[in-house]
Amino acid sequence: MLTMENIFSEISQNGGSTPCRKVNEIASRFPEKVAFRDKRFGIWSEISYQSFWEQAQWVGCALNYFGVDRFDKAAVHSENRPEWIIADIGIQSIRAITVGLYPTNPPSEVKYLLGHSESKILFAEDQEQVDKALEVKDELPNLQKIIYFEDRGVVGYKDEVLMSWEEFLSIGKEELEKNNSFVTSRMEEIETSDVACLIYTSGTTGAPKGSMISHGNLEWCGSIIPKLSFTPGISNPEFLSYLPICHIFGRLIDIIVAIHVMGTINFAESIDTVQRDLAEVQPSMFPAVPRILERMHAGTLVRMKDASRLKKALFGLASKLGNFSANRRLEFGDNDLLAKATNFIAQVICFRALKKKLGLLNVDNAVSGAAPISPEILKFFMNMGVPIYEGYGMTENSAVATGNKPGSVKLGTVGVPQPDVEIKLADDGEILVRHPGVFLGYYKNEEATKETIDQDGWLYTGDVGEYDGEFLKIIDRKKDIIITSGGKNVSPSEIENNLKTSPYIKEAIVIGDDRKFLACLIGIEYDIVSNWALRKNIPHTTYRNLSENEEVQKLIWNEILKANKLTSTLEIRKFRMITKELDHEDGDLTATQKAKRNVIMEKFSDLIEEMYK
Amino acid sequence: MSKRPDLFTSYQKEISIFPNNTQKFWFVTLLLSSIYICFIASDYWIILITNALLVSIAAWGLNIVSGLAGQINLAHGVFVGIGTYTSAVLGGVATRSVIGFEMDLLIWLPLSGIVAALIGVLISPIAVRLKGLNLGLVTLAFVFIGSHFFSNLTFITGGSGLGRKSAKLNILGIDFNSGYEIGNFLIQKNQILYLISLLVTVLLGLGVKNLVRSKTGRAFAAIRDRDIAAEALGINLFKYKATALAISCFYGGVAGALLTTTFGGVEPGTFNLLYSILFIAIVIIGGAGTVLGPLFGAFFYVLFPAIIQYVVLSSNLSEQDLLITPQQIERIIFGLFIILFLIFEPRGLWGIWFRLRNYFKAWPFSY
Repeated sequence: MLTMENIFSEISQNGGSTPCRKVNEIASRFPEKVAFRDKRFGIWSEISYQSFWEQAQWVGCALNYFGVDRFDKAAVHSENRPEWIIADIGIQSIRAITVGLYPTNPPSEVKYLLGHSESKILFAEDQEQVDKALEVKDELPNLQKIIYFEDRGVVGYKDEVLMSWEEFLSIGKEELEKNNSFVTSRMEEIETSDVACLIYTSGTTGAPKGSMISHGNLEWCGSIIPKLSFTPGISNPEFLSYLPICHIFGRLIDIIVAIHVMGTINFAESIDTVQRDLAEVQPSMFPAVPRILERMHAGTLVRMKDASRLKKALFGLASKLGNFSANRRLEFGDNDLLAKATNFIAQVICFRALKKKLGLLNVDNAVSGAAPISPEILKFFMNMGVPIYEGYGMTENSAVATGNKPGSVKLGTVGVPQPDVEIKLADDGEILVRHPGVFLGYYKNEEATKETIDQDGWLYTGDVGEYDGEFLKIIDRKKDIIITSGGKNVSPSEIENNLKTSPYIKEAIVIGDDRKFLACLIGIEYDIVSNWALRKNIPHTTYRNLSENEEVQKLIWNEILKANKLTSTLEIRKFRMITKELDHEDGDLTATQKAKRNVIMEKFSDLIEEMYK
Repeated sequence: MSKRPDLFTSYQKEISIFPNNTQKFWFVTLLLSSIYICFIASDYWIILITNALLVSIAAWGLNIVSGLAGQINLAHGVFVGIGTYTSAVLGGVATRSVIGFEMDLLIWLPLSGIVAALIGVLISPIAVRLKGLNLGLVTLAFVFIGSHFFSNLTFITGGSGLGRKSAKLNILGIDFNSGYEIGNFLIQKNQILYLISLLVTVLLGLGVKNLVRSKTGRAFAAIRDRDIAAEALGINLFKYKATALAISCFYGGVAGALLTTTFGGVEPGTFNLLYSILFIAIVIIGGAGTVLGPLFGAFFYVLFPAIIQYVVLSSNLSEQDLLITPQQIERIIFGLFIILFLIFEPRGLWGIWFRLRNYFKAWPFSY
């Protein structure tokens, strides 16, 4: 087996390759290497790279059988599972294009995405997704087959458009036997300018746009892995796949990084079991989104409240030692002796065990991306001895732009440009990025493409930031910046993140554009606030009931006051509770669980007006 | 994989006896130190620990039928007695009053277990038809029937008040009765018995652990938790109850055989009702239904009186001052412990161990 150094030097010599070619390569060199582990009935069943590639070829052949030709699209609508990646690699290997759908996409969006992308085949996970597709199938002339992974509940369906994954694969198997080299020869044709996948952006405004990511983009991402800020350091790395693969961040980690370093991808049983699965898998690398880290932070604090006095005291002591150690390390570098000693004590008395519980014991590299995160949260993990490197990227640049790195960390910034990445600021402060990972354009949307990429290849990110030639600091989305009626510029996301540091607050939306002062809407973290209320003997029933409780409002106001102290700009003066949980299906959240600011402002306009009366 | 102790890629791995290296490490360490003790401890302690090991085998036996399969058994002592006399007859020396065949340990040890198990199977048609109080009463009757036979079959037992000598310690034709010399090094009989007991304890202990994780073990647990539900699940009550009783008797028989060999002789009055109840006490104090519980209970039962005696004797108080003998104090305190355990820690010593382990396992949380 290759060590990580061998793998890196191979990549540096040969450059990256597009995932389907890489899988083929690994399957022939290390056929027995475990590609996937999928947890079923409590047991992690394994799939080797050989079997992975074999099944991917079957998918390719079967797609061809059903008339999917070069540059045709096939969509996948599923939670993360081995079949997702197998289908994806199968689609790409015959030069077709993968379209990923979020499991939470409601039928109307399914219709839009399948229709807009002109997908011929849909891989749907289970009855839930099959139902959504069947509902809108009549309006989708291109859709020919729906392949389902799980037959529970679907077996009784009579629709001819349906076919099980097993049946689909067996057709592929027969086809492959007829023409053994079909997939490999088709794969040879692939050119770097070919589109590999369409990634629909979550679209906080307007309809989703399909970003065309090329094989060249993917290859480039692969080629910079050795120099990337987030790479596992040990051989045989383990990954836990829980970030949606239809999102660029999940795709980058699970399909590009994991396959290039010949890692094993473990699939979390479901989004609810991520915490337990993490503890079992103890991955080598942990890609996270702020939401997960916030939950871990909040969960730890809440459970510590229930711990015995001794444990509490030791946790407190360990946090202080960890904080001291982390500060020393930021100041004097990683080799500071005192920092090491204090960190060692903190690890022994508390943090080693805590990391094991959180599944971070073997993590030598953790990265946070996809949304801004509060430095408080990063500090919490840093104290624990798990530095989380905040990075910056977006679908349009294959999720690669900047990142903090071991040795060059500055909290509150998104780090330094990744290798080969050029960054500059436009006159109005908008961040411009240029590198070989910048996408080809939006599918069937020339106008938007022109607005986003200029003639010199600079990508207009839509984010406003500060760049000192080394570290990049993001201020906010350009369109989100609040200008108060007093003329002050405020970045709402900074304040919102400070608010979300509180374990009790799940959603915070700061308002104040053209207003006299800042106010916010707060959504509570139900589990934790409910736990708090039980302890205080506050009776409550529903989310709404709990949100409206006076004691809870007091609690939240205190949390806001705390957050105000952290904020450099203006203070929050008033707040109102959102009395429902925000939801993707109601249109409050994007598929990546980001609050849709304009939708929420409109929905709760009466609450907002009330505050400014 | 040691970095990921909780990641199981197959069911076999998940139910393996030592699922991770930590457990393997502690098992080997404990085993090696137990062997080491044999060569450094005094005779007094060696005999005491041998005794504890053997009592735990017998307690495991009772635990299988009562703790795992949930069938009350007040007659466990009788099966220990059956094992005892099987070994004494097969391995002992014939005298004018008793018979004996002076066989090898490799023959009489397994046979003691098997004979006890067979008798267990013989009475199982009665035992498995009953449950609860009725079963308790029937097993109580076995105790008296057993006592009757033990005192009257004088050619086997030597009769009450007299007793007989235990089996001889011959293994593979080598006589170990007065120790064994390897070069200049003399291994005492006690040390050999200790090592044999340790070996048998380890084997039978792994046997219990293995039983618990097997189909049979799960059937036992199902019967214990609710016999009607178990039957509805397709578990053959008759078969599994009989199996539990047979295995239980086997353990009792083997323990009985080695116990008398340690003491050198045995009197039939030993196997009375109190003797049977003793094992129930051990299982309760240790923790019923667990693998480690009976082991804890047995060591507690054997070593605790020794400690009390030591304390009483070293306090220089005479019997006149105390009004009662150290043995009585021992009994009183032991009885107190049974009551306290039943009230405060029904899961026994194992329960304490379990909570202690969880305290550290959950670190730094509380759950």
